[in-house]
Amino acid sequence: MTQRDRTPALGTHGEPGPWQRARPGARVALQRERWADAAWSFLYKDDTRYAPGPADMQAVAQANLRMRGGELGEVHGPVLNAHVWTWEIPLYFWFGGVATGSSFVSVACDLAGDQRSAAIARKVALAAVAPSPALLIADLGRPGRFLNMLRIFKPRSPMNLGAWSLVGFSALATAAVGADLLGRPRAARAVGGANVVVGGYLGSYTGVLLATTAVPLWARSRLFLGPIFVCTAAATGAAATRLTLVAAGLPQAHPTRVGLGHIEAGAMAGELILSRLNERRLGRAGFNLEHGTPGRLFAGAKWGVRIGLQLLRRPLGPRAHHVASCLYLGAGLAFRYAWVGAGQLSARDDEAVARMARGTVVTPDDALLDRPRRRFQSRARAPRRMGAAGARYAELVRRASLLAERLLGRGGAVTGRSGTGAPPSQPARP
Amino acid sequence: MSRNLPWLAELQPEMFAELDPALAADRGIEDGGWMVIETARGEIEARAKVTPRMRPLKVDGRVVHQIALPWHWGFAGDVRGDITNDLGALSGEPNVSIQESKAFSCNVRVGRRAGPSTQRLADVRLDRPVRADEDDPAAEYPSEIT
Amino acid sequence: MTTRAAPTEIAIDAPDAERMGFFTDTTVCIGCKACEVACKQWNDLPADGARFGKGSSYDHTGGLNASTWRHVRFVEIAEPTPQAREDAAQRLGAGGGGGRIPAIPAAGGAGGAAGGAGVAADFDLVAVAAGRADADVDVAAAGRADAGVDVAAAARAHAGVDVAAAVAAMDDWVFMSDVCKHCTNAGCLDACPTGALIRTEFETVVLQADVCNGCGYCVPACPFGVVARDHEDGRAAKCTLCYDRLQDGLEPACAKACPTDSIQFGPYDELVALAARRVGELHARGVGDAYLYGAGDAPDDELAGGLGAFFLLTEPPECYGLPAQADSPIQEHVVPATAAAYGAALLAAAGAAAAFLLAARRPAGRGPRALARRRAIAGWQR
Repeated sequence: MTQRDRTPALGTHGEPGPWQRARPGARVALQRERWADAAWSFLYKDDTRYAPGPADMQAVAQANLRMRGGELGEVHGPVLNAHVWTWEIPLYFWFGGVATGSSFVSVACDLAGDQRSAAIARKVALAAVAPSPALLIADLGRPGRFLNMLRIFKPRSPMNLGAWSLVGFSALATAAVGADLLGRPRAARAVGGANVVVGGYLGSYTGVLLATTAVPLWARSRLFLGPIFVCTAAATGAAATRLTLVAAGLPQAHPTRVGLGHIEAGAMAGELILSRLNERRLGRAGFNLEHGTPGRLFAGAKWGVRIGLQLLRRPLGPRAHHVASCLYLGAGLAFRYAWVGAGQLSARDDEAVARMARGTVVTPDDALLDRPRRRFQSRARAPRRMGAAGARYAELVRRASLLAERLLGRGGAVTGRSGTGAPPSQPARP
Repeated sequence: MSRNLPWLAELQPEMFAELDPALAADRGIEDGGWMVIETARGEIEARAKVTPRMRPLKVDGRVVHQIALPWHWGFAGDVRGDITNDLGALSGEPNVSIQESKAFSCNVRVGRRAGPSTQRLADVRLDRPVRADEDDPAAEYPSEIT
Repeated sequence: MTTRAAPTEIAIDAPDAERMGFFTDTTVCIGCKACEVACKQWNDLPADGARFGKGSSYDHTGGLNASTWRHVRFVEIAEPTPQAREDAAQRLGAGGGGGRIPAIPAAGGAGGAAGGAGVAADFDLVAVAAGRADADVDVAAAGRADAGVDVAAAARAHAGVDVAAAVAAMDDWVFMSDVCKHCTNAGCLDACPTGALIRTEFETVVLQADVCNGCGYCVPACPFGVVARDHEDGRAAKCTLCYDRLQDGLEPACAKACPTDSIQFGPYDELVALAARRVGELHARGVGDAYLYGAGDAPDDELAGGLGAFFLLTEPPECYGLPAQADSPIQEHVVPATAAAYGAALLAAAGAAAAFLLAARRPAGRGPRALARRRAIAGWQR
């Protein structure tokens, strides 16, 4: 091999440079702590023709309103993301409703003097709320981290308050049944009575949870969803308790049995009326509750209720009443699935979303420009900031939930989220 | 090349051709459907992108439609597609011999290209004609990042 | 200065941090999608899977989700609005024949790319394309005032088409780089039950991945459809405004990568002032439809209290898949909804008690059946 001339064309050969052994903690000479390139990379400075003139905020505000107001044109592309909940959630709504209704019934029984039924109703409430935490945890994307639901107390978020109320209700329900079994009826009655306060929220917050989203169907039904869900809760709770009491031997003409029948029928009739009212006022936004699979579920549920109510009108004997109670329970479940399913379709209904949004824009030509807008302004009613103790508690819960996740194993798959394209079909890494 | 990087591959996943709505309607080509562009030298298939941005010309009393084709795809990579170079003559630019011809007159028709799919050309050399049921790239060689 | 947005349960205070945001100017965007790629590269996000035609036009990635935090929308606007046509016709001075150009004789040839060579002498395409020497602005030449010749307009002018319409339709392909809006009244932040979503010292909204348990409540709570839950990972994710880069004084990856500086990053107030000046400039140049989405509104008309990432748009918001008005749904609805719901619950409880009182009558009568019934009822309690 010939010797090549390796003289560099320019400069000299590289050599090891002078260096010193670093001291521990020595600063690197070239390091800058803050690069601050955010400022210099701004191209359009005052020496360009990008924006030479002065700012006219009035004109800008006018232009904004003009373009955002007026007639709705074509709607392009998806606007919202639909919720990701699966079958566990409507089922949990149903169980929670039964539990709440049963707790109402137990207090009513106590007030009427029927202690035995009250005790049984309290047991029904506990049995109904028992599967709820499991259902909710199963629906989470990372089920191992379920403890984080109790990491903060945030009244602004219905889901957070709902989680706390579920814990409270379960605790009180357990205490009440425990008192019953231990032969402390007065304590049981007191705890059961207190549980109505919590149960009232548990049975109604699910409607609030849906209403406080951007989904047109739910948001426009915000005043109706809560009461509708409460009616379902009362009716299904009464139905479940009534069937349990009958199985336990409650005699036919007993005032409790009659009273429960009244509650069932009254609550379901109330639900029908409220649904009808809501349907009428929703108009276009209610499309997804009237068509498709959720529409069929909803219509079927309404028919079930109507048949049940008719069965109660005629003197067809106790068995017809049991059939009616079962119909109410089934209809209650179908109502939940219909509402949740229709919400998913409504979120994908771009036109409904756009219409709902446009409806609240006031244009410069609008005569109602001066109408007062009462909205819950975050600045006006800001929640209190977490104190040091709260922050410590939150950190503790976070660590506990990460530990729980590690111990229980991951519910979902892990992606090595590298952009080099590890395909999603690769098996999960623990 | 950029076809091997999933972030870039997902931005433009398939070979496509842009054409105006009048031409698409005339040939029965649907937006997002398959079309074949054929010249005297060869034919390629591409997904159709029907857009009003392409406007036909009226030259010497005749209507002349334009279609737009990108140069990007090939047999290898995460996303594969036919190669526009197949339509033109092999004319190399004098300096570095890069393909020089960028404009052709062509015909378009709806459907898939006759002959083996690009997937199959990449991996298989058959000594017999490809059967119709064998020639379904999505079934045999699904894109790795879908 | 401490954070000015509503203090949430978890917010970060820092004495010298100010509100930072994005100003995305769609009139300068070229639709190159460098922002999408830069965001994925910096945040190490996976590709979503290549499928042709997930979105419209050149958009094949679909939309914002848990692994796409910057997404470029492409919207083709087929027909110019009547107003735009009129404006263009006026600007062209309704040149002879109602704005129609006769077909070019064969000797002139197609193309005419040089804008004048070989064209019939009785028609000055250069003047048409440049919008006449006496007109001070022209949509086609906007931003290239010194260019003189608009090749695209000249080419179109050869087609025997309505020139006024063609000029009016020059901006018929709009691009918009969609991102998390980092709202002042953030729906996702209000909805999050675990406190995973927090307000940072830069008044952006960041999702802490080590806290999120994937309940998915933030997903329907966002009125812009930004945050989503990852199907495989289980947690939700969205743009962080490169919080990690901000803390080191760097600008976000997308703003850094944008070749035309369509995505501008900086202190929020400065951006709003710049954007207002830009809108004024565009109005002066004849782009009367330019407006700001998310900034510069009167307090009653603000979008979610003002968007940290706001846009300069030229079409109505629905064209870009944005709602005309939006606010945090929690703040809008939680008080009336809870009042109605809990009130109904208490009513139901009272109603249950009342129903029992209504039913408290014992079966009357002295016959044997009534007696048996009363005995059975009495026996229930024992």
